[in-house]
Amino acid sequence: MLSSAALSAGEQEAAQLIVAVACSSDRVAFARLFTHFAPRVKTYLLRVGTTPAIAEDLAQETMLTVWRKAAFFDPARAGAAAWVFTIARNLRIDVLRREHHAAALVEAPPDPSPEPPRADALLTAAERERRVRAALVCLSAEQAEVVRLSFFQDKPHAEIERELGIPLGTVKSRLRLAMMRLRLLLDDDA
Amino acid sequence: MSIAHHPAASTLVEFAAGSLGQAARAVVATHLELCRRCRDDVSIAEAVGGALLDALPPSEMAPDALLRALAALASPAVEDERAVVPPLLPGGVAVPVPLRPYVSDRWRWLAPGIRLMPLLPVNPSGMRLDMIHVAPGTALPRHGHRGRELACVITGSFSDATGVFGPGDLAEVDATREHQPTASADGACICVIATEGRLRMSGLLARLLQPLIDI
Repeated sequence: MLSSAALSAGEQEAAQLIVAVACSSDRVAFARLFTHFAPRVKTYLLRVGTTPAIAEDLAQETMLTVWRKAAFFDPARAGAAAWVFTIARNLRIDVLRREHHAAALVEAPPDPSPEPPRADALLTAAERERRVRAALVCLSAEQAEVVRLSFFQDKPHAEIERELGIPLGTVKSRLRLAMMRLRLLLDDDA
Repeated sequence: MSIAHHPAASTLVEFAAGSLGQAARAVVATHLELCRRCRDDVSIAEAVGGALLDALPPSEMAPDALLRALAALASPAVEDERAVVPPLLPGGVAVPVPLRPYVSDRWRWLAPGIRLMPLLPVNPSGMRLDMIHVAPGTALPRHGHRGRELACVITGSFSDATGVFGPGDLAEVDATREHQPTASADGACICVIATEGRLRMSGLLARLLQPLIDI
């Protein structure tokens, strides 16, 4: 499912680029982040059912949020791709919400005050993402499939039930086992 | 009291993936504020989301996409509209941060000892969101569900056949079960509840209440 080992170098670089944006408003770093992430964010949004025009706009908005909130990126807590993913996900949730309710609502807890990242934190971010990729490869094919479909369907669990022809209970238990496995593989940080 | 009841792993994955509807999302977020273990699980699932995102094939962006983005960098950020901190709940409890955008001070009387504050009407995911305030020792009408229900205790505690639920505990009920939650005798219980479909009430009191509650 996830192949290229070369990505892990890219991952560490992505975290460094975000920090460069945070520390020195580095437009070249931003352009490189944009070139890598914007087209992938757009693919993600298209897969979860966003129309092409809105997917283009939200990919733009995701990257502008990366620029504005770069100081809040904490490489000790999240990898670069995970951080970008949560920004795109939250923007999509806001759009869905605005389509159905008049009010724009802030749900996320306030961001913690930005602090300069520790030198070793960049390595932590890259290392964590490398381990997540390695852990995903360790899942059984069945578990990996429900995990992947969970992220790339609009109404995941009901659709997975239909698409794979397995009962909802089986979808849920595969996800439970996948999460247990991932926790085991990722928790022994010490 | 430590948290004993957690969302299903599949629910946490839905939360991380962004596929949980607004009402259910608010209930899970209320639990996450108090539950480190589930926050860690959501972080793991978000890391998975990041890895999957990174591995996606790129889509073609508009030819001027990067230039437009660079031009927009100078524009000032739109400030987040932080919700005003709402007044405390009965009993002097603060409204959990994830619920602050939705609360009012309008409690509706439902039955002796039971009050309800509607937070969100039925939304596109088919769920509505309410806060319910139950006096000490009061039992809710026995009910079943036509769909999913997620409830998180904000203060006090209640019990049903499956156990005792205290602050931060999350109860996930599906369409197959009927239950009768009862607030503990030692204090009022306030919960936030996302409900899918109308409740199926049983018993005389419940049938009398049904038109009043309409949930």
